[in-house]
Amino acid sequence: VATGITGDPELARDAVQEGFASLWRNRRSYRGDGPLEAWVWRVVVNAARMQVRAVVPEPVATIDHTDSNGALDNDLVVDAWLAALPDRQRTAVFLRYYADLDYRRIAEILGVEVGTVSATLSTAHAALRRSLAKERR
Amino acid sequence: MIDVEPLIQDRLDRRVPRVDPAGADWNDVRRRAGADPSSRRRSLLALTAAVGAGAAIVATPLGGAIARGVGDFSAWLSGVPGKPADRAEQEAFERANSRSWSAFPDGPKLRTLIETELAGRRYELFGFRSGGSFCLRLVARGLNGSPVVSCAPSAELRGAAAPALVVLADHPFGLSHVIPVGRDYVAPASSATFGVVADGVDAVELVTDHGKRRAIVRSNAFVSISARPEVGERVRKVFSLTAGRRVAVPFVSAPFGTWDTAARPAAKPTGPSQVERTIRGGRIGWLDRRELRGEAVPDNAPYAGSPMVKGFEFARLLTPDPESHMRVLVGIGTLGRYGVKAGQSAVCSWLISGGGGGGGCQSLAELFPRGPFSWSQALIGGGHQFETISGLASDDVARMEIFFATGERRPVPLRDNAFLVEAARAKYPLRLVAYDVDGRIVAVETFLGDAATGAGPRPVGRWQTILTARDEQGNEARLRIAPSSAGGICHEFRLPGGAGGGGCVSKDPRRPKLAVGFSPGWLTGTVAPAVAAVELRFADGARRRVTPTRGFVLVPLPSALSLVVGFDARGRTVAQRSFRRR
Repeated sequence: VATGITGDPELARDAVQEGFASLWRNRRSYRGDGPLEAWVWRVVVNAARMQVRAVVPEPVATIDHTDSNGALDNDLVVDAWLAALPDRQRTAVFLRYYADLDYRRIAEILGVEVGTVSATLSTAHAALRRSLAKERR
Repeated sequence: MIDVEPLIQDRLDRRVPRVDPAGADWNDVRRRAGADPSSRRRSLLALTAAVGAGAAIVATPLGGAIARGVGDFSAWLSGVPGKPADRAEQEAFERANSRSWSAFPDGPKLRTLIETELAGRRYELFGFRSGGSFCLRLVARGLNGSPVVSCAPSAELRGAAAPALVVLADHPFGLSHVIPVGRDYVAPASSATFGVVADGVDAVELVTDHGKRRAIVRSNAFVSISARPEVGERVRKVFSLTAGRRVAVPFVSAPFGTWDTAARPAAKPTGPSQVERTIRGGRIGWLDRRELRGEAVPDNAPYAGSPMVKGFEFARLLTPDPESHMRVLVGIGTLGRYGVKAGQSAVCSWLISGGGGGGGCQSLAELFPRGPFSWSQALIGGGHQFETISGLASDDVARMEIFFATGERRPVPLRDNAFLVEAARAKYPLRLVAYDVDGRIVAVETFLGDAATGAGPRPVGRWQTILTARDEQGNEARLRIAPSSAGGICHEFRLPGGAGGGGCVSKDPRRPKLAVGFSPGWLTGTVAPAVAAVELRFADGARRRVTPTRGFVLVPLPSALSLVVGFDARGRTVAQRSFRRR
């Protein structure tokens, strides 16, 4: 997930290390009023976001419109879609489809309502559908 | 509407490799946190244990599942899942078993696990335990290809990494008896994927080429039937769902067509890699003495008339694993086939399993040319998740072991110098290791992939269509290329009507200058860089000259072709190929 947020495995590793260090430093601030797992996720996700702010983001991929066909084209479309997603949408996508978390847990991590998670992912899906439809025309 | 969720999951899984939690650098965390390593180590470990629970769920899914109240595979290891099969089904199974040369021992009792109907057909999944294995038998009423039986070692359930285990994927029922035109494919009437689940699994989700579907989960088993699947449609991923959590189930897709074969696994083999005592030669004493080990080969055995096994002057049927229904046939004869010269005595070993047999021969004079054991890999079908490795070991071998990529190791049943072991295809690469009587390693064989792994060059990266052409009726053909894993170029062509083909060419300058062939109505193929132009000469005297595109040609043939000539840049003939009928 951290790789998804930072776009860089090294930055991601650094973010996870920093996140766990932060957990240790602030362990007394955990009040036990929510799941421990969600707290850990939230701290690590925030650490990854801090890493992103320190660097200029680069697009993960762009779509090459040369003549081609085949299943591999979907990868390029998905990569370009991921690169173009706003930060919060991309984080939600990684938490949902890479970390396999449900909407409620994602909402706890991002500090938003469950409905917001649903709307965020729905918006992201719609953007991907549009990209795929455009590519298939 | 396009179902984008499987696309996203698949892409993320492939793009972002899973991180092994064992690689976490806790010293670095301590330093960053400003903790005193000596005084706070215990506390930090406590936090590690607490927060590590989440990571452990990712790393050891079944462990996590159990922690959340999910049971194990005890229903399959010691219980009786489902209900007893009705008498007619049990009797039909017993009749088929009694006719088999590799009958399941001890008269297994069928259990009915799942019954369902789809598109007017009835499907029934049965299960049974036999020796050290458990088996599933799927019956598709009224469709050929039925029933199908697939088994797995029970040991797989004891150390399972996920609360579900796929046994067979994409098995086709209702195969067409009509031979397709050209090299086109015909879809089966239905295809089935099935396996077993641990207690507490809510659902099993299959990600296919055309979307996601849920399997029927009942009686500690699952089955998913696809009615009228697309040609070549395959299950690509399997997940179990327990209390809302998805866990990837280790699994290998069934291969299809030219390219759709599994690549060699990226994992590294485990276990010893070096021999401690080198052995050359090697004999099997009882075979030299013609001792009557094992059983006689029954005259009425289904394979007795097969050219594979007939003609032996001495043959025995061996049971390396008393818990398995599979046998190994060992025979001596002067067969003059299977790589052994006529008149020369050969020793052959054949695996006899429920779905068929296979093996090979070796000169009796040089029985073990490569080491103290010989082996063969046998896979009944591309969708079966377990393959059998069997063979003969010399008298120098006292015991054998198999090491999987997962780090697991198991003893390999070895008896009367014959061995066989069933290996999960999802756990390759693996190693077979042989030890002498003093425990020294005398042979190591590494298997990088199973029998269905694509070993040759394969396309990697992006396909690019470089040629399109139309025949006189306006039907379009296409040829596309992609980089080859071997450094050259792979190509694939698709002709009107669905026929197609392809292959990979190397960069070797010695490769054929004119590697062209014709499919009905079309000339396709590749030429070497030295060929600047290709001339097609037709039987009616007509000629047509074409310039290859990046070394490939795709030309419609309006009439019978008689000759293809390749010219270099100066117009000199450098190659030609005749297509005249003899």
